[in-house]
Amino acid sequence: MDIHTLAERLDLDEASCRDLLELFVRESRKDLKRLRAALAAADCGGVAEAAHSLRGAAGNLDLKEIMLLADKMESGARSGSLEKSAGLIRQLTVSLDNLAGEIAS
Amino acid sequence: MSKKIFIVDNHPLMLKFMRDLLEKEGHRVWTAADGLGCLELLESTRPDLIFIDLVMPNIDGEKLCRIIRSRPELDNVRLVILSAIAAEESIDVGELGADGCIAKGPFNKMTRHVLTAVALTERKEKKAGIEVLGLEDLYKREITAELLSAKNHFQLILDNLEEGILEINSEAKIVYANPTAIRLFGVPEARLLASCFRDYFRDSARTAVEQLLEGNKPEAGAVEKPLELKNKRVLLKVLPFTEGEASSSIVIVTDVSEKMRIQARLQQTQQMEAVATLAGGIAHEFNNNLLSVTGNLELLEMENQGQQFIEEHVRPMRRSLETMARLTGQLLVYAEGGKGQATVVNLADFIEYTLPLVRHTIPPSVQIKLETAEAPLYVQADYPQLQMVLSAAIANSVEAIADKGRITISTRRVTLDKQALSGRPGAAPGEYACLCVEDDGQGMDETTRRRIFEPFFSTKFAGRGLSMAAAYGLIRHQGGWIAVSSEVGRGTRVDIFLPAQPA
Repeated sequence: MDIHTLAERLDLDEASCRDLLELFVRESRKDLKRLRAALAAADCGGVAEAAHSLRGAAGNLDLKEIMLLADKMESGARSGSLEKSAGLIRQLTVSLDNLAGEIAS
Repeated sequence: MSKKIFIVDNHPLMLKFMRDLLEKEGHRVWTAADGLGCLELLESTRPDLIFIDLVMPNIDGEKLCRIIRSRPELDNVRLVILSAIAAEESIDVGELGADGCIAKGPFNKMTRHVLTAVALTERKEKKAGIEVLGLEDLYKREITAELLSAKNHFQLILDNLEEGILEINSEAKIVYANPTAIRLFGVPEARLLASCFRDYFRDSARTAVEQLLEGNKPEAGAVEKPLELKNKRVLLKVLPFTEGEASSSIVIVTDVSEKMRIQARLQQTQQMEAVATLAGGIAHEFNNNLLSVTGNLELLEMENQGQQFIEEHVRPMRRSLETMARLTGQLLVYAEGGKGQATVVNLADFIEYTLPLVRHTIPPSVQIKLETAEAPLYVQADYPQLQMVLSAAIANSVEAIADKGRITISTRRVTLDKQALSGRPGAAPGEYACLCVEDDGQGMDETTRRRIFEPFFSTKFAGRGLSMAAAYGLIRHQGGWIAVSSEVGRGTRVDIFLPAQPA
């Protein structure tokens, strides 16, 4: 994925797209922090909410990979299961770091 | 044409995207992260259009719409909902008072809909087709439907609790109130939300509330005594609540007014029983000793007939003894009831017969009104004693009426269940006859009212016959009670309850 293609797809100019992506990364890192804390406290509701926020924002930027991961996490937490959450958080962290790398380059 | 637009959403990404988009089009944009923030903006700015996210903390989109629509000066402000859940719950946008709804999704799809929504505000007429824009771009998600179901579940619980539940933010502004809380505070929801919780309390209650809320303590707290809130007495419990960086408090409000009334009644009944027992004991002792003094005095008189000196001093002694005997007699009646003979009494006949006998104690400037129940009412009582009770109540009313006024004597039949009799141990649920004497005289304050059945509290009646204390004693021993209610400046009502007898 490169910024140029994404910007086109989202009907934004590259600079705005970059700005939004940077904001997305910042906010999502906060969501991840909340996710880890909620998972540590075995708080299903907290996990679901943070995942929901992440999912929504990812959907706005059409970042399908991150959106799907967040969606899986939210579904699991809503049905009371946190077992996949740790793995999903790891995957999300990696995806987000990748994205941050793309933006920086 | 440049418009003034508010964006209300709790995700910074959405706020930035919308701001950039709309500012690029030449519009002026303000943002808020929750309903409360939007209301604060509205205090200084009147926008043309507000985009509102549905799911937000501190007053959500739905509530915000209702509040805005309850303010007529904001009638021309267009409201457009931004919804991530539009696909799951067919939002009744019209019911919220909104003018449109845009489903959240990829920004490129939203751009088109947002600009359409702004263009529609150009139109003079409002309700021109409320539609959900962008619905076709979303897919139904089962999980969100489940989320909504859980929300409805909790909503059901909150809506039906007997306690009032409120959520207040760190500045004590109310961001949520359940129906019971809305009722307890006595103002419409639209006014309650975003107002300051502290402002509803005055004086010492306000101090207590401020102490309770100060410092945003991490532990739960509660007030020690009930506080006054709009003519009710309530207990408050505060539970701090932190979600991420936001901290707020849940306040549980319990109305204890009824409980306190029942407790006061129970206390008074118990007190009177205790006083009655004491009074009875003392009266007996006094009586016995009075008899001894009276008897010996009579002997002295007999032995010293013709001795002026003795006679002169015996006479006042005798008078005093008579007064003392009368007083102890009344005390005994209060304590034990009179030794009477109970017969079946038709209340209407009784009043008709007794009224003329007491008429002479009522000044002509006082009007008497009679309202007896349609169906005949019977009680079991000693006739002369009942007469004394009625005349005691009438005497009270006459005393309370300065010069012109009205006394209404009425009868009615009531069915009292356990709940109505709470605070009156010993009274069995069932049918009761009530003889009521009501006046529009000067009334009594609460302190006086509470003491009206104390023996010798109203000593001015000692000369006229039965005092209210003795009246109470008589009625109590016939299985009933007397209830007095009064308001200073309005009047007093004396209700005499006796078990109703079948005809």
